[in-house]
Amino acid sequence: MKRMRFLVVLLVAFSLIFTACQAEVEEPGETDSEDEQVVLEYWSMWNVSEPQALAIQAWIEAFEAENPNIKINATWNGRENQTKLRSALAGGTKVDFMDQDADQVAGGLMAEGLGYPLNDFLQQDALDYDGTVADTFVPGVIDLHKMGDDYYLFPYVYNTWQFWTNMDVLADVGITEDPQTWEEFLGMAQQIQDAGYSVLAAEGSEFSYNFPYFAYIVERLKGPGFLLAAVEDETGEAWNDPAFLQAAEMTRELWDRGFIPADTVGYVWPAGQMTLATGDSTMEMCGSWLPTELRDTAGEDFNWGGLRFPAVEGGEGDINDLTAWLLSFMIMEDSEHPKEVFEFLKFTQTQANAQLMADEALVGVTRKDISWAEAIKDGEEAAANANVALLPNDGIQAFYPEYQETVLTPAYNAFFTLEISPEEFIQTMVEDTADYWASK
Amino acid sequence: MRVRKGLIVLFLLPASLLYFFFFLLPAIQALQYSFYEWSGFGEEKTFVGFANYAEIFQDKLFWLSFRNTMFILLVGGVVVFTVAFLMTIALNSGIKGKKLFRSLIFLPNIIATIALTTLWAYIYNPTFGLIKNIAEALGLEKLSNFIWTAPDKVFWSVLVAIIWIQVGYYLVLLMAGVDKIPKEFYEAAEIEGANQIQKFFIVTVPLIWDVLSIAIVLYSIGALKIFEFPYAFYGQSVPSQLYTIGIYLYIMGFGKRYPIYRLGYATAIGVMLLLSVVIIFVILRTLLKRDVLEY
Repeated sequence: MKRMRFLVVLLVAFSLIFTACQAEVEEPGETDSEDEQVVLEYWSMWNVSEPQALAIQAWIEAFEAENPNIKINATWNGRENQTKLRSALAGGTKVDFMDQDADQVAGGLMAEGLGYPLNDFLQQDALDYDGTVADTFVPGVIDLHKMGDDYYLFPYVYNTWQFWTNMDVLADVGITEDPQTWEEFLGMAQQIQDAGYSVLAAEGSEFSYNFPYFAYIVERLKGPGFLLAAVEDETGEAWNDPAFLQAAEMTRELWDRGFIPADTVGYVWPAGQMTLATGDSTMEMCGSWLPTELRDTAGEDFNWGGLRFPAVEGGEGDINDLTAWLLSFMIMEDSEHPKEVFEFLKFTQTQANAQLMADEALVGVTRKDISWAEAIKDGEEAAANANVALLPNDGIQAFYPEYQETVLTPAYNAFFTLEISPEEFIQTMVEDTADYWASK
Repeated sequence: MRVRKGLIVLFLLPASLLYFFFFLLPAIQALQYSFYEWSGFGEEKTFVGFANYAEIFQDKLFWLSFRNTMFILLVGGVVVFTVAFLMTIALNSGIKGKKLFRSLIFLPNIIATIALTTLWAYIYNPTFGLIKNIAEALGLEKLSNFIWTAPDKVFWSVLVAIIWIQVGYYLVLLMAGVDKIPKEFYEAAEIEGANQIQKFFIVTVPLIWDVLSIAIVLYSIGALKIFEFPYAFYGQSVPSQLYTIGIYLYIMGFGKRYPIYRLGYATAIGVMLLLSVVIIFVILRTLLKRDVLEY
C-alpha cells in the first residue's frame, strides 16, 4: 500500500515537472505552427446584434474556415469596451485585440503604451491588392493617429463629417451646385429659408455634434493644427488670435440669421436629427452614420446627400480637408499572437470583406475602391478626394480629452446655446485654459 | 455560554469576511488611490500626496456638481416629502381606489430609467413636446414657447422629473407607516376638535417618526449619489448643468465617451462624496433623534 502511494506521488510529481518544463520552453510567438490551435481573444465595441457585429462575425467565421488552426473568441462589450477592458487588464485578463473609436483608443490604451506597433506588418503584401497592406487604405487614414513614427491603429470604419442633407429640398429650391465657400453656403441657406424651409438641424448641448462647426471654421481659416496649438498654449493667450473670435462670430451668425432655429437650444439628442428625418429641417452636420441611423424614420427613399464643409475665402484650409471619425482595431502590446491577429486584420481589409462591412452595416470603410451605400455616396467621394484627413476637433479629444471635457465643453456649450457672446466665449477660453494648465 | 458566543462568531464570520473584502478593504484602498495619479491601465502610479484634493478645491466643475447634488438633496427632498405627505393625506381621506392610485403613483419606480428619460425628453421637447402641444391647444402662448430644456432651465426641469419618480417610492413607505396607526387615535383627536392639519402634525407625524426618519435617510443617501436619470437624460453626453458628484466622478474616472482616465482623481472625488454622506448622515441622525412612540 505504502509502495503504491509512493508511486502515485512520484507520478504526480513527474507530471507536474513535465508540464512546468513544457510551459517554460514555449516562447510567445512560437505557437503559430500549422498544427497548433491558437485562440485569439477579441474584445469588441459592438453589441452582438448590431450590423457591424454581424459583419465582424461573418469575417471571423470565414477567417476560421480558411485558418483552421486559429480560433477567435469575441466578447461583445458595446461602446464602453475600452473602459471594461481597463478593468479586465488590471485583473490579469489576456486580450489579443480590441476595437473602439480611434480617438478614444489613441487617448487611452495607445497613449498608455499598450498597443502593438504595426509598422512592419503594414508593409506586408496585401492579400488582394498590388501593394502593401498600408496601400489598401484610403489616403491619409492610416497616418491619422500615428504616434511618432509608429502605427498602432488599424482603422476599418470611416465616418466622414459633412452636412447630411435632404437633397429633395435643395432640388425644390433650385440649388444644383454644392457651395464652395462660406459666403456661398450662407447664400444657399438663405435661399432655403426664403423658400419656407428650416435650414439646419442641431442638438442643443451635444458638444460632439456642435463643436465641429467651430473646429471646421478655424481649420478653414488657419489650417490643421492651429486649434490644437491654442489648447497647448499654457498661458491661454493663443485664444486671443483674431481667427478664434472670427470663427465664433461666423458660428453665431447661423443663429442670428435663423438658420439654426431658436428651439434648438432645448433639443435633447436625438431631437435635432429627428427634425431632419421628418422633413422639418434640411441638413445636419454630423458623421456619415447619420443617414443609416435615421433610415427607419426617414424611410429608404429619403434622398440623402453630403455637402462638404465650405472653404473660407482667403483662408489656409481647403474644402477638401475632411474630418474623419474612424473606428479602429488595435493589437494589444502583450498579445502572444500578434502575427495571427494581423493575419485576421489583413483578411478584413480585402475588397470582399470591406465591401461586406459597407453593405451590411451601411457605413463607410477605410479600404480603397469600395462602393459605399447609396445614402452616403457623397461621403465615399469626399473621402476619396480628401486632401487631408483631419482629426475630430483638431485632435483635442484624442490628445487632451480632459481639457475638452472640463474646459472647452462647458464654455462652448454656453456659447453655442446663446448663453454667452462670442467675445465672452473667447475670454472664457483664455482664462480657463490658463487655469487648467496652472492646475497641472 | 462560551459555545453560544463561538456559534455567533461562526455565523457572523462569512458575512463579515465578505463585507471586509468586498467593501471595507476596497474603501480603504480607494483612500490610498486618492493620493496617486493613476490611469488604471497598469500598475504604474505616481504618488501626488494631497494634490488631487487640492485640485478638487479649485475645480469649478466639481463645485458645480456638488451644488447640483445639494439642490437635489435639499430642494428635491423638501418637495418629495411634502408631496408624498399631501398625497398620503389625500389617499387616507377615504377616497375610493386608494390602492389603484398608490400603484399608479409608484409606477415610475418599476420602469427602466432610460424609458423614463425618453418620456421626459418628449414631454419637454420645445418643438413637438407634450407640454408644448397642450399649451398650444389651450392658447397659452407663453407656456408653449417656454424652452424647458434650455441650458439655464434644464437642471430644474430634470429635478421635476426626479421628484415625480421619487414621490411614489416615499409615498408607499409613508403610507405603510400611516396604515399602522390605530384609527382610535384619529377618532380621539376628532373628539378633541382637531382639524386635518392638526391631526397630521399631532397624530400622524409623531407616530410614524421612525418610518419618516428612515425614509429621509434613504432619500438623502440616494440624492447624494444620484447618477442614472441625469446621466441618461441627454443620451449622448451630459452637459455640465446636469453634473452631480456621481456623474463627475464617473466622467473623470471612466472616460465616458472620451478617454479621461484619472482614476486617482476620481477616487478623491469618491472620498469627498463619502465624507459628504457621513456628514449628512450624522446631521440627520442628530436632527431626527426622538424617542420612538410605541402603540
